[in-house]
Amino acid sequence: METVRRELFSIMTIGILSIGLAVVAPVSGYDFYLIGLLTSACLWVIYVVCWDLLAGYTGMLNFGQLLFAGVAAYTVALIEIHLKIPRPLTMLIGLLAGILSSLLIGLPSLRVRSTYFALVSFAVLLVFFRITLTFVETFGGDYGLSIARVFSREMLYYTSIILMAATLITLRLIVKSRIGMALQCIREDEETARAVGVNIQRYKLMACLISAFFTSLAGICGFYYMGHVGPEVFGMMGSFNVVIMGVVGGAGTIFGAALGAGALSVILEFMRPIAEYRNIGYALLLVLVVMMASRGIWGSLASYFRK
Amino acid sequence: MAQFLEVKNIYKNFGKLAALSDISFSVQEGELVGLIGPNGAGKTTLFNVITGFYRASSGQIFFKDQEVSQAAPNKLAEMGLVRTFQIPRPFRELTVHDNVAVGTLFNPERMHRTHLSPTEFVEKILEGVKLLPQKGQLAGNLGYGNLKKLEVGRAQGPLPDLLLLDEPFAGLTLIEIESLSEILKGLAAQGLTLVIVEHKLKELMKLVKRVIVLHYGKKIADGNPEEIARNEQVLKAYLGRRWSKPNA
Amino acid sequence: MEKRAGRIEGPARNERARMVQTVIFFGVIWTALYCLIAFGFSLLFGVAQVLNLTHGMIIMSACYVAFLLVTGLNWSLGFSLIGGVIGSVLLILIIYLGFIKKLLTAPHTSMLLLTAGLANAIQQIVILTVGPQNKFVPTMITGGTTIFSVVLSNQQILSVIVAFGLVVLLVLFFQRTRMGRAIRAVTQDRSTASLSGINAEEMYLVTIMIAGVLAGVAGLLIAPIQTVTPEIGWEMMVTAFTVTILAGLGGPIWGVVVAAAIVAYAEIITAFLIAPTLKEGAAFVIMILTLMFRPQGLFGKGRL
Repeated sequence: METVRRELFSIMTIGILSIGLAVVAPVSGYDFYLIGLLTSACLWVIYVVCWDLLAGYTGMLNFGQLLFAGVAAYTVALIEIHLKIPRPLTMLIGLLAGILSSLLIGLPSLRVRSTYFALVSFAVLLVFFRITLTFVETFGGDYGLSIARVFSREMLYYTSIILMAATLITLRLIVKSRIGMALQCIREDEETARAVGVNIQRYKLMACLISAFFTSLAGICGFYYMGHVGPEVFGMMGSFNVVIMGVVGGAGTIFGAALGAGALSVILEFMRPIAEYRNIGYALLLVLVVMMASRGIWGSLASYFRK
Repeated sequence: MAQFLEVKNIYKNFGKLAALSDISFSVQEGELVGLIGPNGAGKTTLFNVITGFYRASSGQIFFKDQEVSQAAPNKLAEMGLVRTFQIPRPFRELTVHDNVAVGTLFNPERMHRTHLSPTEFVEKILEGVKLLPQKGQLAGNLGYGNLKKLEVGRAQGPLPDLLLLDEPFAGLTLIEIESLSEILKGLAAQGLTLVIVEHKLKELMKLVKRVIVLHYGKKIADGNPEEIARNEQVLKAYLGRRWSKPNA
Repeated sequence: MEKRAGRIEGPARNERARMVQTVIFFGVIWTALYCLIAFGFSLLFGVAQVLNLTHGMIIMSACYVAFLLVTGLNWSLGFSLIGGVIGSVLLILIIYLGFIKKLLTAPHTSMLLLTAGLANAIQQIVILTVGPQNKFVPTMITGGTTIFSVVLSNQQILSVIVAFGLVVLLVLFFQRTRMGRAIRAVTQDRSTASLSGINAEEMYLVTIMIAGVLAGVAGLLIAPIQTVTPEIGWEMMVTAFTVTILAGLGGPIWGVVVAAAIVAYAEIITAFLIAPTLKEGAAFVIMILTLMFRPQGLFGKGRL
């Protein structure tokens, strides 16, 4: 495909970075803390980049990105605990569940302005949060669901890197293709986009499903790594952090979003001891960036150089 | 053989307001038609109904022998019916080139007929609307005059057979209008069917071969420019009763 | 009473009747409160075209301010209430003048992000200062009244009366007073309104302050009859939004009352029949159904 040829450079960059990351683990002697940090960072990158597809490119601001991950994770957890079926099938069902959950936000928002999408995403997150806390026997309430370690940490670490690379490459290709163009037009002006032949509904749905696909996979990976999933995955903070990372890094650019995710997720970890201040700080950071540099760090640099 | 574009007994109500009443006309392939009428006559409403942005309260629309009364704008674009907007609505964050290219991407069957590569095709369009030098600029940075030209250029992306232009001359200087008129004449010469809504009557009359007049949502006249200029009803609509008697 | 198979008699039937009546009366209470909340939210939405995600947080802040003033500073109840309302108005003015105003020309997404960020910041600040545990705000008046064998606290009755009273005042304000009509003019067409000599900027400020008062009062009325948690900011937001879109923009004022009633009763019935923690689910379902099948709301006109 022509797009692949054009994007060879970015693909190679992603590949090299990934290999670099993969090498860190053995080099550092498989330090648990480091591996955990990097795995987490990879997953955050996936979440943020998928969020960016919806928000930065299509203009559908999603405050509940982790919904897909959470649904997938809980589904996998439930199957692991209650059913004895082959693991690949379990993961497949989890993936499907995650993708379907995106329709909960996507379908109602098809006919109305994308700004309504934001509030619907809030609401869905809140409802799922409540559901997990209400049906305590099924979902484990505050404690969530846990399973014994199934895969080794190293294996999940490498998986998360591969997953991240796959997500970045796929999304980059999509964004530079005709689909990406359609999404951007939808973001710019829906009416005009329709006037030149873009089927708005189809592309909005497509964006939702693609975003949910990779997010769900990451959610499943995260579940196996932690061996645990809890209601906090449906909490405001997690999904909000996704938004912050995306905006600060640069909504509307794949690399910017990835950058934001990488940097901020690591900082997030380091600031864990002062969690409350960290949360306020991040929220204010969002406000700052929105008011001063709405394209985020990467985006601002990019437009600066373009001039 | 049915008409190229046929509008049949279109009514459009907004609550109790009858914006369009019993509008019927047809347009043949290759025609250059003007649509005029005083403010509030319903011209843009009619455009919106034909192009799928509003749904008619009753009546039918046929394009190329197919009923399109319920069709969505993107379906119409696929069939070859495209419109422009009175206030330019470019894709601000995309380049001028990409603004035109969008239309080409989503109508691949029509693209095949040109035997040109997409880039060549886009550049040809840009050349036609005299925007080739600006092709790499962000559309959001263009001046008003250029944006109006971009409207026309972008509308050609999907390779339309019928182009509906909503006040293309609005806000332009006389020189810019001249320039745009030439461009439109060129498009008509290539076989594009044009229907143009305009307020700038003098310039429009110089351009089109046929004029349809709307007043308070009804069609009151349909003929060539000379007839329309003398038509008593039209004069009354625009100028009021006192001036409606034509000069001897 | 003897138990006879197949017939519900005596206490059981009274029990059911009482439950139904409780539902009805609670529904009235919450309809009134939701009206207040939705009005405050839709004022900004309609007038300034701003989807203000901080509205819920302002309500929450009013609750906490009242709590602080009463328990922390031991102010008398009356002054705490006034303090709470003034606090809300100040807060909303700060948010508008300091932040929202700067971004009025930016795309909608920026505004959403801004207000979301601010709302989050407010929530975190409150959690930081007051602590994440649930709080109880003492009632303004004590004691209860029994109506039709349902026991209602006087506090709840007070809340309803104040809420409905405020709504009536609002309606009168917007329809009878000069300023109210001026604000409606600005809602419909800002530039034309200023041609008539209306200072749009002033009207915006007035509207915002009214929204602040509404949010503050709503918070103060809710605080004594429901546990105050840091989550209620977002819960109120979801409710405000659902009621607003169910009613539809541009519709008559009583449309909001009807919508508030529908949402309130849906939530209460859900709480009774399924689970109290799932009552937002009812609002959510209504939101989804409205957006999918009737995006303009029940009474809305035009713009989506």
